[in-house]
Amino acid sequence: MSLEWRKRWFFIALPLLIASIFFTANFKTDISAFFIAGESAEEILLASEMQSGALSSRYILSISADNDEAVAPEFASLFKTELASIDGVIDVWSPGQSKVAVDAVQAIYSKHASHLYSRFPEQDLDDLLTVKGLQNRAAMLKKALLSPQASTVKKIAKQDPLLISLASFKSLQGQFQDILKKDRRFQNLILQTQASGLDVEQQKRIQEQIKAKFSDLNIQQQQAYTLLMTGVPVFATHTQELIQGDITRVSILSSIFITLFFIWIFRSYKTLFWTASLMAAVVSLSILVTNLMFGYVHGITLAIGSTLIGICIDYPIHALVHSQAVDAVKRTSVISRVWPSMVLGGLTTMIGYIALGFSGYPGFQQIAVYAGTGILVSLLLTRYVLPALIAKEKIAETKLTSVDTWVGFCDRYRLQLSMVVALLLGFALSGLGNLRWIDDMQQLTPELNQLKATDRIIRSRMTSSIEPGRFVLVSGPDIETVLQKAEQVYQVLDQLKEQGDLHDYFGLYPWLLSAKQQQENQQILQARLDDETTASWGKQLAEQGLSVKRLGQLNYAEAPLLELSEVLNSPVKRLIENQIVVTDQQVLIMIWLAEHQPEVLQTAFTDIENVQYFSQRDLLNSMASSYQERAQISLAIGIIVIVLLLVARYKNLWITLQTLLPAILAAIFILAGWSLTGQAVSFLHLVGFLLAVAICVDYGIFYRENRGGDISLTYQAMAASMLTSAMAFGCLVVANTSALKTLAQVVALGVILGFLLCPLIINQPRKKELQ
Amino acid sequence: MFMPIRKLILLAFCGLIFQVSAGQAGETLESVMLRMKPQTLMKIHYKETRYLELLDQPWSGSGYFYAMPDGMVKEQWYPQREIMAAKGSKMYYFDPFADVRYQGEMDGGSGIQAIAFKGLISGDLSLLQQYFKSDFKSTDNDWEIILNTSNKDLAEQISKIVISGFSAKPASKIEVLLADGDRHVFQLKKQTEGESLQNKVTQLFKELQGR
Repeated sequence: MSLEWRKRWFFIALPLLIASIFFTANFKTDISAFFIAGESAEEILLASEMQSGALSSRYILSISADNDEAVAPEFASLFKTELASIDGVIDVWSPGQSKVAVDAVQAIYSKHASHLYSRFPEQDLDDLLTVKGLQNRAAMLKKALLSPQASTVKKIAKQDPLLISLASFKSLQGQFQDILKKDRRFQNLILQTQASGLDVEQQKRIQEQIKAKFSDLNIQQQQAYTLLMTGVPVFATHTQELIQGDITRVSILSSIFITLFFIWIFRSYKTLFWTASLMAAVVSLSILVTNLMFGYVHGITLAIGSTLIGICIDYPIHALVHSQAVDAVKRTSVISRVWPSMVLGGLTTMIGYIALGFSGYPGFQQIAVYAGTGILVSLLLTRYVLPALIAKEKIAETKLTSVDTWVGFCDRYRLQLSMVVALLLGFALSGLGNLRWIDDMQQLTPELNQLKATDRIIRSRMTSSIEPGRFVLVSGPDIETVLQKAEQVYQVLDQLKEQGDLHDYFGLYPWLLSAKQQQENQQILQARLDDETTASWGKQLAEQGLSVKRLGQLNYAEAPLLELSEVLNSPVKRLIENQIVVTDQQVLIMIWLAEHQPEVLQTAFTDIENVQYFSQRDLLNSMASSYQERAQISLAIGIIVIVLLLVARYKNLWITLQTLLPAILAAIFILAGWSLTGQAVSFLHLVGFLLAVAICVDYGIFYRENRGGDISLTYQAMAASMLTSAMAFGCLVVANTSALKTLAQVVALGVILGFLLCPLIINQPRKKELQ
Repeated sequence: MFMPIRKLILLAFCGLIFQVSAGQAGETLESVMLRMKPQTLMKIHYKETRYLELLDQPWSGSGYFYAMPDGMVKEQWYPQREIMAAKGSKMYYFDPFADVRYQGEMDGGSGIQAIAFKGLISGDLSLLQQYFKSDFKSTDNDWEIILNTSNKDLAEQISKIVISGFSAKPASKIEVLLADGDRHVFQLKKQTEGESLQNKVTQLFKELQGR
C-alpha cells in the first residue's frame, strides 16, 4: 500500500475507533474492585458481598450534640422522618432490635415455638416441665400479661401458653439492655437505599439530600448538632471523586507537559498533530481491547494508562529524531532500520507490564493488557503509519543537543565517574538490608484515613459490642448443611464463652435453626407434653389467677418448619441479612463476635471443615503479603525474561550485562534510597521498580545498538523519550491516590537515573559509520 | 419488647384530663383542647382495674401519675412498684423488682402511635382528628370525651377511649377499650400541683434510665 493510502486509511479508522469507545466501552471507578479480590471461593463471595451486597447500600448516620449534652430524641425522630422521605431511601431505623424482635415473635415465632424453642431441647424441657418450672413460668406469664408488652404477650400466649418461643429470645435481652446503656450524647440511625452502594450517582444525590435535610433541621436548633456518616456508599462516593479527580488532573497535566515539550523539541504543530493522532489511536485501541477482555475499563487503569502515552510516544520520537537527519524519501528506511531496537525495547517494556499483571493485584491485570496493547499498537503505527504521515513534512533538529555534553563528560571522566558509581553501588548494597516492608494493607490507602477514622468513631458509638470485620465464617453447598454446621459452631462458641475467651456471639439463632434441629425439637416437645404435665400446668395457672380455660391446653401441634425464605420475607431480614449470603452454588453464614481472643478462636476452628475464623483486616493483609510475594516473583521472572531476550539478541553475556546495567544500577540506587530514608516498601513499590527496569532497559538497548549510526542523535532521541516518560509518570505525583504517587516516584526517578547511566556504562564511539 | 399503646394513650390522656377539668357545660371540644397541655407539674392518684381475657379475676393496681407539659410518668405502688413514662418521642419502663428497663421510640414501627401521642400531649387537635373521631358531651353535672380510632393501625389495638368527669371538676375516670376486648379503667384523683414536684419527676426519670 502506498504511503498516501496508509495515511488515508489511518484517518478513516481513527474517528471510527474513537466513536466505538463511546458506544461500547464501560468505565468503572469503584476502588475496591481494583484493589480487593479473594483467594478462596468464600473470600471472593464475601468480597463481592462487601462491594455490592445488601450491606453495601446501608449508611450508618450518627448525630452528636456539640455541647456534649444528650441529643434530643425529638430531633432524631424528626430527622428520621425526613430521611425516610428521600427518594431512593427504602428504610431508616434506629439500631437496636427490640421492636423488630417483638413483632417477629408475635408474627412468626409464636407459631413456630415448638421448632425453635431451644438448641438443647432435652435439657431445657427438663428444667421447664417440673412443678417448680411450671410454677415460675405461670408467674412469668402473668407478669408479662400485666406488663407494657401485654397485648403482644397475649397474642403469643394464645398460641404458645408456655411462652417457649420467648425463651429462645432470652439471649437477645442482653442486647436490648445494652441499648439503654448507650451514650445519650449520640443518636445513631441506619439508612438503607434502593440503589447499590456502588451506584455512585444515586448515592451522591442521597448523601447531598441527607446533609441538606440535616442542615435544615439543625438550623432550627441553632446548629447544636453534628452529623457523621459512614458505610460503603460513603467510601464509594469518596473514592470515585478521588479517582475522577486524579484522572482529570493527571491526564490534563501530562497532556499539557508532553504537548509543550513536543512543540519545544520539534517546533512543528503538524508533527505534533501526526504524533497526537497516533497516540489517540494507541489509547483508543488499548481501551477497546481492555474493555473486550474485562468487560469494563477501570478509572485507575486510565490514570496509570495515561502514563502509557509517555512510553508509547517514545517510538515515534525515536523515529522522528532519526528522521531529522535524512531526506524525506529516506525516512521510511531510516525508521525501519531503527525499528528492531524499538521492538526489543517495546518487548522488554511489555514484559514489565505483563509481569505486573501476574502480581495478583486485580487492577494491574487490566493495566497489563492496556499497556501491552498500547505498546504493540504504537510500535506498529510507528513502523507502518508514521512514515506516511511525515512523508512530506520538514522535521526540525531537536533542541536536545545539550545532552551531548553529558555524553562527552562521561567519555572524558569515565574512569573517575565509574569509580564514583562503584562506590555508590557498594554503599547502596550495604544499606539494602535495612529495607522495611509494609505489612498492613490499610497503609496503602492513607487517602481514606479520614473516612476510616469517621467510621471508627461511629462504630464506637454503636451500642452493639460486635467487633467489626471479625467473624466466624461457615460455608457449605446449601442452607441446611450450613445451618447444621453453624449449630456445631455455636456449641464451640458457648464453650469459649464459658472459658472467658469470648464475651458473646451473634449467630442466626434464635431467628433460625436447621430443619433437623427443628424436627428434633418438635418431636421431643410432643413426647414430653403428656396429661400429667398439662394437669400440673393447669394447677399453676389457677394459682396465679390465670384462665385455665384459655391457657391450659398445651397444644403445640405440628406445623411446617420455619424456612429461611419466610424469615427473609419478614422484618427480621433487616437483622440477619448481614449474616447470610446465598448463591446457587454456595451459602455463607457469618457469626459475628463480641470482644474475643483472636488466636484462641482461630485455633478453635482449625480442624472444623468449612468453618474459619475470619478477619477482614487479616484477609487484606494476607492479600498484601501474597501480592508482595508475587510481585517479588514477577520482578525476578520479568528480569530473567528480559535477560534471556537480550542474550538471544546479542548472543553475548557481557554485552547483555552492559545493556542491562544502567537499569539495574538505577534500580539498586532507588532501593538504597528507600532503605536509607526508612520508607516502608510495598508491592506497589516493587511494581514501579519493575516498570522502571523495563523502561530503562530500552535506553540500554537504544544506546547499545545505536542503529541510526549517530550516537549523539540516538542519545537525543533517548533524552526526548526519557523526558516524556518521566513527565508522564511524574504527573502522577499530583494524584491523591497513594498507589499512583508511589508509581510516580519510583518510575520517574528510575528512568532519569537509567538514562544518565547509559553513556557511562556503555562505551560507544561518538561517531559511528552507518552500517 | 415494648407494646405500650394502651398505657401510652392512657398516660397522655391523664395529662389531658386534668387540664380538661376546668371544662364547663356548654364548652366545645376545641376550647377544652386549648387547655390540654399541662402548664405545670401535677400529681394525681389513680386506681387501675384491668379486665383481661386471660385472667380469671380483674386485676387491680394503684399509684400516682405525674403529668408535665411534655410528658407523663406513672409510678405504680401496688401490687408492686413499677415506673413507666412517656416523654418527647421516647417511652421508658422500669421494673425495680426484676431490675428490668426498657426504652423505645414511640413510633416503634408504627408511626401512628407517636403521632397520636404527640397530638394528645401538645393539644394538637388537627393532628388528633386525623386519627381519632372525637365526641365531646357535657351536661350540667358532668362531661365526657369519647375518642374512637379512625386509623386502621391504631384500631388494631384500641377500640375506644372514654374520659369523663363531673362538671367543673377534674377528670375522674378513664376507660380504655382495647380491640381484643380487654378493658382498663382508671379512677383518678388530683393530689397536688406545682414546680415542687420537679425533684420527684427528675428522680423517677433517673431511675427509668438507670442513672
